[in-house]
Amino acid sequence: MNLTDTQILFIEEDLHSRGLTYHALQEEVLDHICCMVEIELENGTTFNIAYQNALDAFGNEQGFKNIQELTYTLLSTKSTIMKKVLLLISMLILGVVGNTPAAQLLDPPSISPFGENATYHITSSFGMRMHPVERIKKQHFGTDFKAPIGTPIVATSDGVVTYADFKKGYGNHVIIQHDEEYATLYAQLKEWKVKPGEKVKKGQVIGLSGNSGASTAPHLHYEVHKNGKRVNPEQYF
Amino acid sequence: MYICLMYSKELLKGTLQTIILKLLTEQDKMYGYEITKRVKELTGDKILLTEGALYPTLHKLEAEGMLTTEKVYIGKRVRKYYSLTPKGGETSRVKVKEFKEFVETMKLLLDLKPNLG
Repeated sequence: MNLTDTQILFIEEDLHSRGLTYHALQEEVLDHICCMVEIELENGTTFNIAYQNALDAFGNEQGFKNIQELTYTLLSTKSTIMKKVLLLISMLILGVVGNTPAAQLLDPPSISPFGENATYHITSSFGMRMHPVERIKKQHFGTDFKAPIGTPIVATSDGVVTYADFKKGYGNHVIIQHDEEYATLYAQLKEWKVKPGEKVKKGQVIGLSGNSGASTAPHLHYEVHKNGKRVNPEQYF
Repeated sequence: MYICLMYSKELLKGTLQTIILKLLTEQDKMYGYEITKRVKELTGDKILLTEGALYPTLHKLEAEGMLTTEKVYIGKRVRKYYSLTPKGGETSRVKVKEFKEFVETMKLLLDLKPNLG
């Protein structure tokens, strides 16, 4: 018994609200849970009970937290782990660890997607705006930069590529998970130069800018995700 | 590591990679849910993989170049299929051989006759 689009969308949004925000896992966990629910529906269980059983099998919110942390840890480079250890040690020496937010142990994006000290031209900022394609007032969840087709786009911090593919809207796009908290997304690309699972360094070219997806002129759409929520990228370069 | 009706988790720890790699030598490509279902069927419900252990391991094997992936779009869903790379195929053979030898060796220890013990 196949789930309807509405049911799938409901599950997708519900999983996100339960903390499943790690791009590398979202799609396949959604598919897995849909499969589990469908089997139970065939056996006569109601949707709500079938869905709750699937969530229980994953261990609910805590389960999602664990699976994401474990995946991230297994994919982390030794250098990332070492960097955190060194940072922690230096902070201990300075005696500041007690009142330092954990965020300082992380790798937030810290340069523009064109590279350190590169010039850039912002054409549309984060926030409410008139959508150029749909012609309605809509929240813009990223920053748009003017970029001639073929401009090299770089990773804004060290991380692991979790997505490099085409999707309606974003067009060709790449997502990089930097740590447990931060991920960045680079959209409307002409092509990507990295593949999922690949480790990338800050400043490494990950693709070339283009005009793919919902786009009216060559540009780069750049997003910063903090705990799965899209935040203003301009705070991070 | 596993939800398991029959065996302790200490006993099974470390065998998940072998199980995944072996299944993929038998079947060209599989997706996560299919792997859990197949293990359940093959072992008569004696080994149930938990999703919490399966996906991190699949991603690790992919990052290590043992597995490649392919996405199939089914309406609003995306199904991610895993298959062995040549390196994964070789590792699968080595791991299965090693585990079989281990089982044989354990038999020597466990089947000790009282007069030998």
